[in-house]
Amino acid sequence: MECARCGAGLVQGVCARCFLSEPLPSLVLGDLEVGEEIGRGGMSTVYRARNTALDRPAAVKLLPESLADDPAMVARFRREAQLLAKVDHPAVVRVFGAGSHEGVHWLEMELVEGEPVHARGPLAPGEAVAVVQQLCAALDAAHEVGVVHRDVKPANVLIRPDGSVKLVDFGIASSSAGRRLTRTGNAVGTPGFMAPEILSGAEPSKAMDVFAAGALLYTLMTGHPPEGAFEPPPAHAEAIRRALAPEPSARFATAGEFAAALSRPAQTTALHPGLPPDEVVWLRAAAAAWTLASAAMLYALLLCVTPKVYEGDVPPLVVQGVRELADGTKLSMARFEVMPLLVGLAVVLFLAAPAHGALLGRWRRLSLPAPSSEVRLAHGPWSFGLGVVLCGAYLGRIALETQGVFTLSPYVPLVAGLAEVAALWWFWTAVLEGTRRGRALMREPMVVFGFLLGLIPPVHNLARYLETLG
Amino acid sequence: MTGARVFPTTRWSLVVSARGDSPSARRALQELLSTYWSPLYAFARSKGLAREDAEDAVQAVCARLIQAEFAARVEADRGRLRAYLRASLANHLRGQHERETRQKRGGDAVVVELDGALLDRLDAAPHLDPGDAFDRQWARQVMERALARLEEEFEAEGRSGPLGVVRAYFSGQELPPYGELAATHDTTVTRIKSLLHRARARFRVHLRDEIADTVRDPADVDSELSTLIAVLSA
Repeated sequence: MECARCGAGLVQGVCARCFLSEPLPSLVLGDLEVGEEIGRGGMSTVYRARNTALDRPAAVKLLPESLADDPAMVARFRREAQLLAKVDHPAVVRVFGAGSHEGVHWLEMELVEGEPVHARGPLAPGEAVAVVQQLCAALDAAHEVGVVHRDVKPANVLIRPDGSVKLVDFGIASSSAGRRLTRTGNAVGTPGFMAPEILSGAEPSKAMDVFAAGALLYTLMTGHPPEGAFEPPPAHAEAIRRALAPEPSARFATAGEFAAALSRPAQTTALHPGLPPDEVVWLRAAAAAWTLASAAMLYALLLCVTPKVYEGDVPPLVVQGVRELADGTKLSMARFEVMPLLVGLAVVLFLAAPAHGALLGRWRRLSLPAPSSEVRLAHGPWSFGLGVVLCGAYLGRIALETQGVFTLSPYVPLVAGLAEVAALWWFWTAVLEGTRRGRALMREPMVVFGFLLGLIPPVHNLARYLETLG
Repeated sequence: MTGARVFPTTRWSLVVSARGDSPSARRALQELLSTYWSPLYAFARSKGLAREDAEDAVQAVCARLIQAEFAARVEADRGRLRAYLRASLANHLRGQHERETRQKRGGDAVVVELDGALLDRLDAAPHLDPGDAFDRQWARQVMERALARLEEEFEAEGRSGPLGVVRAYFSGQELPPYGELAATHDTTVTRIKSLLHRARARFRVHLRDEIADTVRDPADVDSELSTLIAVLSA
């Protein structure tokens, strides 16, 4: 078959030449010549257009034919124009007019040459924040005149080639001043970007838009909307978590406050550059797990080499170097203290190792920025200093006790033990920070020496004890 | 990723970026092949292969592509599914691997379902140069898919009546005056004009989307669209 118009062959009864090679014949609505489709939502479709009277480009939003006979939908469509007309902000699409003719209803709007923000794929954190800050300014402007957008999502945030942002589609927006066009209890919006209170039929509020702005930032940074027990990206985690708080009152009071929070630089410490506060907590928790595990192992080893007196038989397989004493008892200098060793091993296997794996997995998943492996750890001088203090205090104590100046109270060894544990914990934070940077521990002599210095007091104390036994 | 997909990914870019190595990429490739096998058949038939041999060649090429063993060998423009398929089949027909592939995929195993009616139609088509036959069938397939999408939308909105008007308009038939059409469909002239304009604009969007799904770089859509128009206008 051939096209009756141009004579070309038809495909399934359609003439490709007529339909594709020529520009669309314009649909004329008032002063508007309507062209290609440029956007589509659930309630309307937007076309490129030209206002012939003013000789300027425009965008025309048409109410679908299937809804054009529904008075409620027509009223809602008109309402969008009225709400948009109230909001005057460079990041909000402007409305130029509205009209209808023979059952065709349209809005004439500013033509935005741009693409939905999600068309570019996930953005770098800085770009995503810049988009959301502009969006927040637009939302603030809308909220100031009592308009709540209620459908903030990537498809409704257009980004222009110069990076500026336009918020579009106020199709389900509501106004605190005007009458409501959706019944209370109608959950409108887009899953993933809808605040939880919408599902329970809450009145429209700006907190809903703050939630959606938080969800948008999360989506732009991670590639998917927040769901369930979501994990906010470490950069701005606190601000995102607050914007996405389930309880509306726990969110930022205004979109502007959210934007301001995003401007504040993430707090990081000198010890862990680039690691947000939340992540520092995780690193320290993993270091605590390793501290507990290594303390348990060291304690078990210490028990193994502490002399022990047996009154009856000694288990020959685990006890070494038995000496019979004058009173008939037996003295063992070293043995395998099976239970303490097993407990120590269990703490390593079931606490420290999983914590370590979880931490590494977390870093991989979140792609956290880390300093280069060439950057020295800030832990070094502190580690060394701590080792010197521990050793100094120990030696000072021996000197004072030997000279009979005074005898320290019995809880001092406990204090010393806790100080040793603190030194151990500090050592592990350095090890984990080194792991994060891919920096070998051997390249941090201060940390290693500090650690070894910290080991001198307990080892020397043990040696002195063994000496007293002869 | 557990959430809904927010960022657009075309099926072909999914296939290319994974180099056919991930299950989702293979699934995407399988879907694309089950849509775009007919240009391969048209190409093979135009090369003079008998129907059964042509069917077998289609199955063999599809099997190889899905097994991903072929991917590294095809020196095609990997940014476009159309160019990739054509190069794959041309390579296959050089006959170097035919026997081993047939054995590997288990003789007559079916990789993609070939629609008998479509095969008959292709067999009845006038003889063309293999490359032209491939491109022509490709273009037809894209057009048909876009039209099917439009029809689905109309049907989903319960508007199969106006679809008749749209189809008549699309085919270049002389339409009755708008006033008459409006009276027949109990509507207004502006709405009839709006309906036709919107259906046509929508069809173009579907066509672009259909092509976009088979290219990696969105910038290639326009050149593929130009090829499609050129092929169908010839």
